[in-house]
Amino acid sequence: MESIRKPAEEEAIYGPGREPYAGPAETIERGEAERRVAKPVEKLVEGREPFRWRSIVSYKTVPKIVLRGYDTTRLVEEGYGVCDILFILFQSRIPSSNEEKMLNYLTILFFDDGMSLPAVISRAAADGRSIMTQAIGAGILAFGHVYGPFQDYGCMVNEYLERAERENKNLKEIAQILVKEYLGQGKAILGLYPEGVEGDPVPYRVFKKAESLGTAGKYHDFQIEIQNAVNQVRGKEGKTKLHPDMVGAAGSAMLDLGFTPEATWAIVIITRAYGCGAHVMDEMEDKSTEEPYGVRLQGPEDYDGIPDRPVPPLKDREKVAKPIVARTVDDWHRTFKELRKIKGSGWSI
Amino acid sequence: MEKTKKEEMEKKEREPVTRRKSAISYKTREKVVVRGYDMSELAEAGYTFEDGIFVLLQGRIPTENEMKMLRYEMAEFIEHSMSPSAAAGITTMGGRPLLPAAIAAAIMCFGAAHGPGAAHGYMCDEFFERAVKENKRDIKELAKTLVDEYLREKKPIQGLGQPQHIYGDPRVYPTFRRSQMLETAGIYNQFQLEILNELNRRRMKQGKSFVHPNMIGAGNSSLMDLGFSPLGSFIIGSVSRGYSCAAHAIEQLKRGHAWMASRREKMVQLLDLSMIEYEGPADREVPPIRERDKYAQDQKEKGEWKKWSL
Repeated sequence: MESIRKPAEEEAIYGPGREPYAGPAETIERGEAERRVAKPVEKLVEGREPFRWRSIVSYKTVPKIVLRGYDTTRLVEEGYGVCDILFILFQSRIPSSNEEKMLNYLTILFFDDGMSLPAVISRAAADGRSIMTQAIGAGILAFGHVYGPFQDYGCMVNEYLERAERENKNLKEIAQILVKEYLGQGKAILGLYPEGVEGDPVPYRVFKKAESLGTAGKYHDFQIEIQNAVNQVRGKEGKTKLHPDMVGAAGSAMLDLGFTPEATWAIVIITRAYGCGAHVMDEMEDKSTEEPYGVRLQGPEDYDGIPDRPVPPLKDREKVAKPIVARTVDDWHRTFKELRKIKGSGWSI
Repeated sequence: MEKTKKEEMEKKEREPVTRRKSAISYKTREKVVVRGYDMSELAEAGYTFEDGIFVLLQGRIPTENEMKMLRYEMAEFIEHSMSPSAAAGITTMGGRPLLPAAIAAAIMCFGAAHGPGAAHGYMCDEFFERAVKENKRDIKELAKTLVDEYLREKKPIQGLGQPQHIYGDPRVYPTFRRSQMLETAGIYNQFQLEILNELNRRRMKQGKSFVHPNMIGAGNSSLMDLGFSPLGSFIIGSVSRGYSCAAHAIEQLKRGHAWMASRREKMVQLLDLSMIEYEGPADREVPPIRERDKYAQDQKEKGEWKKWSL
């Protein structure tokens, strides 16, 4: 086999006679040894059970579908509804009437949020005349660490509640610690509207509803303590009051109902997906003069990148181009700082 | 002066991403209004999740029986154990993206073969429109025409047959019964049952087995009888399943290994190397690149590649 001649520079980095990127000599030798005695497929699986779709959630047979031990047809025949099934699905238990009522109340609030990110994205996808489920899926992908971050919120409060238990703090004390640490690090406290946004009445109604149905628990109380602690600090600084948002109000209510942060997020997102579907149909039916997203030309007036420039002749490529590879930490740091200046390169995120 | 500046700033900051007419909803600081109803007031008044779906997708509050029928259907739609959508949610979570990616993957899995509610709805509507145009009012005759045409054109009749529940999906007949009991069964239910009878009458004559309706046949007919459009019904079917797919994906996240290929598990994992069965061309030498053109021409002419082309 023809040998590949390595440049002197590469030899200096990887050592004489070594293939670049191949790893330490002992690894190469072990890999070679394994290749020589490669086991047939039957040997690979020896002593292990064959693959099955193992699940703690459900199974089905030819005549029935069973969710957490309950025959789903028996459940619906008995009169259990969607919100009951969500408790069984995520928590493996049938909820009390009041718990079901509370979840029912919350899901109505989750259905839609006007022309917010999921609706806009679903509508944009629908303009491409993708099928309904694709457009809904696209809208779902809008949920993240900033928009509707119910999982992050749940993890945040759980982390501090666990700390409270370990460090023997009460809710008020641990809320003060959370607020101090978050403000100290300049991080946004999840569950509260940002500064400058006036509160809306809905989160307060959610708190009241949970209280009246008797489902409000430690998460509800902790959320209130967080609000009190942050507003105490802000009050001293002469700043305006921060209000709870739906992540704080509905998130704490869902956690009090026993849903994990992940299950809470899933329920919020999927319930909103029905709303995305409605927006998709509206977009598809719209025969007005509005154009599909992206059809209207966006000219240079909104462009703030590198000004127009001539394309260099291909023969001049080596004169124009500069290699970017960094071989030392200092090199990397210099390159990194340069790269951060390029808008849209992702280095500033 | 100060207040004006603040208001201006807020106005600028909270400009919508893009303006769009919407017949669905709007929001202000105080409320989210869907189809004219303040959703918070709807919840406070004691309306149900299912009432909310009617408001969202049809812009109306349903009768109690309509609400009950939807409640029945959506609750039974949620879980179907291992189906393409659950598998999509589970395998997507194996890569450890954020949860919404797994949920989106599961819902996006619904299409022409898995839960094709819209296709069933459009099939029915096409025949009803023809009935109006051709002045044919007999549903039995209409079903006969549909079966004739679909069998002749070798097209699958939507709403019949399920690969796992070969004796009929356990939810199907109870769904037909429930919509009759609640008096929400209408022309779609009737048409579906006539199609079922007509097809099986022919199959029996030919000594073939009975084909049972699937949940598209029973569930979608019942949803359309409740006034949901083909796409509206598709939304209900596919999104409702999203809940259980999310539970399966979370189970993978919390109880399974990422990548689903670990050799440390007692059970061979889905992506274990042993699960791969390769049936493509046998191992072959990579030609030297300088001989590429000669090799490529020869390969193209021999045409064996066509056997593998996808």
